[in-house]
Amino acid sequence: MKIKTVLMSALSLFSVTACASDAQMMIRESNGTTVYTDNFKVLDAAEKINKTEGILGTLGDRIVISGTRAPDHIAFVRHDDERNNFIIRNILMIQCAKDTECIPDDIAARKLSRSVYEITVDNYEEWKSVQERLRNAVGVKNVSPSLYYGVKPSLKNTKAGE
Amino acid sequence: MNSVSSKIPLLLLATAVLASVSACGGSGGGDHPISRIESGDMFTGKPYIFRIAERYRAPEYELSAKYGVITDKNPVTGEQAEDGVYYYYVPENTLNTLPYFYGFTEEITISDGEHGLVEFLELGTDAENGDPLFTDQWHLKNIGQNPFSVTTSPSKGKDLNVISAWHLKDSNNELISGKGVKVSVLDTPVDVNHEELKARMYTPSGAKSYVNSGLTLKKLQKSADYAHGTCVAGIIGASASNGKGGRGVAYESSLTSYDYDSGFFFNEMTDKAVNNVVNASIGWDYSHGEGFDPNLELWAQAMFENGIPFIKAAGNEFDEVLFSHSNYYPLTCKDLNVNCQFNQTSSLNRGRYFINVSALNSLGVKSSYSSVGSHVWVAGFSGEFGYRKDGKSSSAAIVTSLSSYLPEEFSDWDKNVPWRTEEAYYDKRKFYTQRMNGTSAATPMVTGVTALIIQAKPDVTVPQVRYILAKTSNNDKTEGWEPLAYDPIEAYVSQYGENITLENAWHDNASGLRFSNYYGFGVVNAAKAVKKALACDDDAGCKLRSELPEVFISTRANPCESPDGGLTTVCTLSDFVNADNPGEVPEAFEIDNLEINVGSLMYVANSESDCTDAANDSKKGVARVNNLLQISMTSPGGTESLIKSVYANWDFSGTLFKQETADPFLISTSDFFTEMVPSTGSFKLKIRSICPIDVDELNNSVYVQIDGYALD
Repeated sequence: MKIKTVLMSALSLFSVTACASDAQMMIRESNGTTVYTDNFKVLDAAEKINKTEGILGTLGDRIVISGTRAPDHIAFVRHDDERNNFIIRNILMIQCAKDTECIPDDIAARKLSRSVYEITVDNYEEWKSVQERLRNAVGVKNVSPSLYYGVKPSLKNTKAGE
Repeated sequence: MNSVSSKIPLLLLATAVLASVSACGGSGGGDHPISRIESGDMFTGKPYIFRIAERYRAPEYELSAKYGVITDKNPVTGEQAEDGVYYYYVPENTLNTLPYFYGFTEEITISDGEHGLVEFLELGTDAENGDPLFTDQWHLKNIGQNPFSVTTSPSKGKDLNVISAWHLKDSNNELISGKGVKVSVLDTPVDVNHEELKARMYTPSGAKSYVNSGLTLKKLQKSADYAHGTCVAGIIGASASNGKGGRGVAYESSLTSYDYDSGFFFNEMTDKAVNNVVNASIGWDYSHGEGFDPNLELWAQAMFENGIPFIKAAGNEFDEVLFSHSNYYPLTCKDLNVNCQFNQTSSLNRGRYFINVSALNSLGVKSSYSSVGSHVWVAGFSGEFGYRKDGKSSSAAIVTSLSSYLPEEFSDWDKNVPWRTEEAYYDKRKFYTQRMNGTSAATPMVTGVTALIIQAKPDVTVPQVRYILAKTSNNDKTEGWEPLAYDPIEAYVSQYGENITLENAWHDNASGLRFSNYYGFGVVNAAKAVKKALACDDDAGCKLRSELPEVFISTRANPCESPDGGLTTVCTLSDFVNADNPGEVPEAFEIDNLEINVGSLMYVANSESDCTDAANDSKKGVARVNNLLQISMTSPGGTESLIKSVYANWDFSGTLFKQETADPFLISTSDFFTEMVPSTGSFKLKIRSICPIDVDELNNSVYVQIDGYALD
């Protein structure tokens, strides 16, 4: 069973801050990671100009502030050193072993190809519980979260002589 | 003269000359003898359809054309025309005999043998339905044209051979054009309002905001790089015969733009109903952090299983390094003109079954910047830099669509370049560029050819596409392509105290396929590829690949040994089993795709500071040691593949990777494609390093994974 190691600790809770209705839902991990599960919003490079307050962290060349999260963003994972922060998206990709139907009947999944499925979750808790469950499911070959680091790939044209 | 078989009685006693065939439809009434019903395309064999006025239809007349052919049977469909209707077309072999390839004035004569009436038909790029910039698109037809004012003109004949492909027909008797094929452009948003692209854009139902979002002037003014996606889309599928611009390789394909800045793992792209092939003129150049993404690997797996080829740029880092390592060691790669950066880094760059494309210039040799490597599959055209304002020696780049905005409104790619400033051509060129290049340009060439393949064979699988491209591309032994040849490169590497092979040149693999790290299996040849696709079932290797391969992995325990404490490590990878059924040991199998897990490749700390730094994942240590790392592999058939060469920089750290994940880090070589692996066969993986490799750690997880076809 392959799940990205950096997220293994995110599957267990070390502490949860009690939240007021307008504060972050935040989970502080022991490995220098903070997971925000609500009230976070990604600003792109244009939007982030002049923004100085309420910044929760960086995301590639973007920033994350307090606010209403995008519907497909279920958590913002911030590292203390601000390196490689990422957004957890509401999609899990599952690969079943060959010729195996490995998704339990009570989990709604969309079949993308003969062995790959997509599961949409609503929130961070569900994201964790579905992964834990599938880790132990018969015939599951691979469970992969969908992460977004806020970084664009590079374009492959080139310039000279300008 | 080329004549229709029946004769038409002459009603005119004198020769009359009209300026052009009337474009009116209908019955050809009045005095006009010939009326055009539908325009054709001289470059594809698509016929012009016209009607002869009724009073000229008696059997005494003879209808003839000076250059082309007139017939009463549709040359494409074979359909018999109704009375008075005729087809005119230019046979492909006639094109190459014309005084000027891109256009001519046809003379259509109606004659009774004594007297004639001549109609003139203007054909070509400057005709009403022409493509005026097609003349500049040397990658489609290279006649040595140089409207760019570059110092070295393109070399005649060095092109995609796509015009011959356009003359072929699919199983529905439609000309090969990319018709019905849906191409996804994963890039900056395409300018959906561009005059060459708007008729090509396809929006799937329920599409999200990042699909066909368009290119705003504001975005373009922020950075002209945002035109990139428009350039790519134009190379693939710019409309033809519309009186504007040039044309795409697959000029009737449908294009969908996916904004790469929105995360780019778009699961809707795995649906073959809305996407048949993906173009990714992008790269992610780092091995760690966001560069490693298991989600992408499953996304790629889904596309592979659904028969959707993913065509990707190999990169432009032959003579540069992106890892900010340049301060840590001299760039000896530049002095020796060898590869400076090993590009098998991120999950995107190492996508399983991706078709990696390197680049060729207009002179028919590797573009100066093109990344190379054992993972390259084929090469496409991209040119160099086009006209250079610094006055240095230059050769052509690619002409394609740029944006729908006036060049004065943003930082025009061609500002102050003669091709842009020539007043006579400004209106025709203002929405286009002559500076598109990089493997960004080479990749859509291959995507366009792949779209033509898919039209020819709609049920084609990804292994079949790769097979077709590999078997039909031009290599150094192909007539006329001998300049692709280059010598192997060796140099004395003081740290090893001996000569080391830095580049191993073209060679035949054990199954007879010719391969090169520069060009993969060679330069795509559109006509040959489409012909192979049309006749796939007649080719055993192509037919074999109608099914997806099995996965075999080596299971030999502790395969690696080192006689010198890890400076030279040889791993014997053997004992293959079926990965999905480990109890099944294949008798033999044919290689379709091969990858090696090097996730636990890490260094041992010792008295050398570089080695300790590298072992501890210091950026400087990793840079300095990896720079001199060499990875090569020999197949059971004896083919030697150079996977990672000395002086090619690499940012991968096994120490860090182990902390990040338990997943494999798979690097590939295309070199052994179609070779046979017997049950007792073994691969020799050889690793040379100036610092000791942790052989025990390597033994824990190194293996070779092969997608292959078991022999019956």
